[in-house]
Amino acid sequence: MSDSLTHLVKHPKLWRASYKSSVENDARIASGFTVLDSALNGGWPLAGLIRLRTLKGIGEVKLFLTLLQKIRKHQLIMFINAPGRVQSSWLIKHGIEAENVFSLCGKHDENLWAAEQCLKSDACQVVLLWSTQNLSLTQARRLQVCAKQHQSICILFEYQDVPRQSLPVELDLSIMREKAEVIINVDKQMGGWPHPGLRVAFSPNPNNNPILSAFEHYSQTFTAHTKVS
Amino acid sequence: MLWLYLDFYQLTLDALEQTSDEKSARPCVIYQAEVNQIVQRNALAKERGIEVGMGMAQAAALSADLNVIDYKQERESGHLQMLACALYQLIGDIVVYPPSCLAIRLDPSIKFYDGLMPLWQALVTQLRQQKVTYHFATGWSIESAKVLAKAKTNAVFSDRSNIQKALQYCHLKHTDLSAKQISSLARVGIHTLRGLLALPATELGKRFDNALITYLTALRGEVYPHCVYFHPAEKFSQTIEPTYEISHTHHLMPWVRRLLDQLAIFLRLRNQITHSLTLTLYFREQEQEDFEVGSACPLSDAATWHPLFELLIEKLTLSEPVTAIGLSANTTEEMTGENSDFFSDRFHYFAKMQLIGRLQAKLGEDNLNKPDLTDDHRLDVIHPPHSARPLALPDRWQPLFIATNPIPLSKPSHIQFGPVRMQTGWWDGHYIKRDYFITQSLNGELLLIYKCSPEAQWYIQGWYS
Repeated sequence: MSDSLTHLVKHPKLWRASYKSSVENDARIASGFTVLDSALNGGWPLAGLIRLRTLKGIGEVKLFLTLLQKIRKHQLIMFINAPGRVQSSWLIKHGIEAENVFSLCGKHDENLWAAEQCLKSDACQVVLLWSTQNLSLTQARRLQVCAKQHQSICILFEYQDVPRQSLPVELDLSIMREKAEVIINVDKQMGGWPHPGLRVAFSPNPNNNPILSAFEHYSQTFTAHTKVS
Repeated sequence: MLWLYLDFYQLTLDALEQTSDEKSARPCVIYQAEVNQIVQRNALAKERGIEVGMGMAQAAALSADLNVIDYKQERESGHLQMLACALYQLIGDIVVYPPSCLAIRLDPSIKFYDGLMPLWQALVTQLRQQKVTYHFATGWSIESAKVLAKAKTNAVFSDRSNIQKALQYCHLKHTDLSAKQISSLARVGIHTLRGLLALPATELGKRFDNALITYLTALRGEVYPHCVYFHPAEKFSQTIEPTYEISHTHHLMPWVRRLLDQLAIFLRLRNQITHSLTLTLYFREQEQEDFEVGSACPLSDAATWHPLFELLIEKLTLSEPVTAIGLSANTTEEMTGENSDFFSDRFHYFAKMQLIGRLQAKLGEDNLNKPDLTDDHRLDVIHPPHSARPLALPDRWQPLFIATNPIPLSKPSHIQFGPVRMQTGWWDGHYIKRDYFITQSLNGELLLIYKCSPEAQWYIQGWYS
């Protein structure tokens, strides 16, 4: 290999599409969706920055539920600049210990500083960060390196009205919702190929379907009954 | 050197209120019989006009249903030891001044915490968990910090000029001088430390004894302090003396739980586990009784010990009221690779406190929150932290995020679930009558919306993220 090429290979911002450096890259947490797991080589990565382009309230946090449930004991989950107050009843319902969850909000720069502190700390394993403006390349890179070094995960939620920019992340996703289905686009991932248009069915809220089906069922029996009589 | 002095001026009362429930709240005072004075009083007693320093007769005249508890110095010292143990996890240089004061040397740890404010925040968080009230101040020596704390300065100074300034205005009654010395100084017109510190030491030496000169040099921070630092005991053995006698077994559990929490921290810090504990109950007349609680596999955390103790206490019958409760660990062993998965289940208590302290110092305490934990079905009622308990059955349809202020709904959306009618709050002035629905907008966003009456505006209350 020529000298100039060796130089490029060693550059921290470049990697080969099939690059798997060590064992840590293989550690994955199953997402609970078969289609997604096979696209992501086994599930969510255990370290690094994940970006998700989304809308507010389409089940974007619930997508990562297995990740939040399977964190190590006593480790913290930090919500930074979340769109609203975090409800403990939701956490209890999904078996997440509310005791280990904190939320904080501040100015954009402070949020990024806090995210970095949390990722570096031994006490915090998952950081969920909502950003109202674009992260610069350096900022994203800093988060990615912090998360990688300290075996923690940073999930960056970016709303779709923020213009899309290419960032050096572990995993780059965008999601949309169509009724009861969520369409996940794996735009970019380390050590794997993009997979657009994965369809996954899950709904983060209760609905009236049990009532409606019961209603339908009983109205049928009722009509059958009237016919007999 | 930088010292922090903490004066827990109502420690007995604080320890009492940790275990009592709010429903049975009564005006309560701690009374020292030897000097016939009220030494501590709670907020309800304050409302009735009871002040510290009053006599028993006057206090009893102000409030008929007053709960009077005798002051015991040993009991308060016991509580102070527990506090020192809790703070020892964060900082090593603690000096205990029984019955109710602690001095903490801050300067060696500042670098470790990345600054004075993160360190202070970490200490405050720990003290808040212990639910104690205190006056505090910092100074360049224990004596100077003590004077400032007794004067209720309640400030953390870092530079000498500010400490100097604050000291100047302190009245002599906050110092360790005797009443006789204070009155003789008052006769020559010296009431505050400013006047006293201005006098040359030779002049003072002619009129006062050596002890006063030594005290003044210590106050100025000119001598190296001789003090014995606090060291937690090698073996866990603690006794709590509740301020009232316990005759029902179910009143024992809160106290035992406190001891178990202490034990868990003690073991965790030393990387130890134990499989046998002894619970000792002290009675007023009878001999003390020991109960041994064992577990098949060695344990360290409090949560796994709780059910075992609950089982023991359930079947106990108390022949006589209990005056004190003790807990000790019989044999401890090192945690090894075989008996625990050490690396995957590592509890970084210190790292957690350090992180929280740092975030609070930078972003402000109000900006770091725990998730809403309320015993209320109303979604916009925010309870102060620590006061509320969670609902026994949490509302299963609630969303993850609740808007701080409801937002008017402007886009069309389709109803998915509902209605859930909420009509409550008539007792506290926040009456609501709302019909909640879950809807999906055209973009697929799942919203929790409500309206108060059929013709009213729709509001967005939360998002199903």
